[in-house]
Amino acid sequence: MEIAPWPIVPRQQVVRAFSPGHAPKSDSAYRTLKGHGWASDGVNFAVRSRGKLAGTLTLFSRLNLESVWLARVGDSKAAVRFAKAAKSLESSHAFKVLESNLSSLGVHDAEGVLNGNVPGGASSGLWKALRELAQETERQWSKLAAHSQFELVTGRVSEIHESFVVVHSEGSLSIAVPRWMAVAIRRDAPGSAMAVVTERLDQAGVMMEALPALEMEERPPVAFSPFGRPASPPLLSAGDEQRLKGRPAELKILVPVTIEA
Amino acid sequence: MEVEDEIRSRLLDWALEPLAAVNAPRVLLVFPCSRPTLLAVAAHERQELETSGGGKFYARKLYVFAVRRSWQRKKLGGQRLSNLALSAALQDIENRDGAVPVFAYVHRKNARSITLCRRFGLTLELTHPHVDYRWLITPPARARRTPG
Repeated sequence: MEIAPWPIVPRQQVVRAFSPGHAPKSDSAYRTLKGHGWASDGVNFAVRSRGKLAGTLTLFSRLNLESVWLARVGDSKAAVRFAKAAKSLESSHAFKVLESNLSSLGVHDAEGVLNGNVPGGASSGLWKALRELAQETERQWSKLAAHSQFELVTGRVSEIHESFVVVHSEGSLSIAVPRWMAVAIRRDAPGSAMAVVTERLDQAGVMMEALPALEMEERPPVAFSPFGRPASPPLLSAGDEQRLKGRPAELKILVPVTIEA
Repeated sequence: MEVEDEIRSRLLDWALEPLAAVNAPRVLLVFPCSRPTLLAVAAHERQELETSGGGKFYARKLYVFAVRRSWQRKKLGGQRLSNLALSAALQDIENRDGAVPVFAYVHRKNARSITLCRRFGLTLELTHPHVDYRWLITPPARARRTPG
């Protein structure tokens, strides 16, 4: 496994997974989910700044998303199983290590991490904690039966077009995702790790959600400059290669100019 | 601004880099006859592109193209300066390499340059190399229909 879905989610995301397209206005929706055993308690932790309490945040295991999706389609038993697994993860050592790493960040940065964005210059300890938790989450997830209505694919953004990005999965599957979805989770740069969840609604309908993901091993960031000379030739995607096939067109020179060597 | 920085600080190094001679870098500078004021710059060089199957082919990269701000939309000898300078660059490419694909990376917010590139036939858009840049290139020639 090279890429894993982001292992933690905020409470709003858990609630929104139950009512897609609706912004939760109160905690009542979450209480309902919890009342049915479809969501875990989450973990509250204090964020400090210069030694003083700066706020509190609640972390949830991403297994809560699976739980709530299943609850939404009426598979209550499976939903409860996932919520229990989420609860067990939230009391695990991996979660505690992550929590202690997050406590040292400011509120804004900690919220960013919760939403899949680690601030630049973050400690390697934070990345390590996220990766360990992601690995443990995947281990738990693989033990539980997945529902065929949902499909989760992880991959990297391999192409960026005007209106969509292409996510190339580890299983060599390519999925086009609207670019605004990639922008919303800040995964619109080439090489970004992303998870795409699709839910089959009917024979011709599907619901899609983009989630942040993380690389399980450290990779150097993809650098680009329009200037300078690249160390290796620019790589064309398969689609670009196809579109460039054939003899090059004559150049379009609008004004006759005499150039001497 | 980044183009101006590139021209002022690095263009000469880029053109004179000994190891890059194989790319045949070229810099065209436009001056008025009357005074030594740089009006426009166009630079290009040969660039290898790699296909997913490991194949390689040559294109020409329009490395920088810029017209002095006070001369943008102005005419020189009856021709708009931007048209004149870019025509000169493309003529230079044609003289050296014949018909080759020509490409440019253009900042997505640089609408004026995108329009100029399109006017000169860089109408095909390849996969964006970065969120902020568009990769524009001349398309292949259309296949001619042969009578049945």
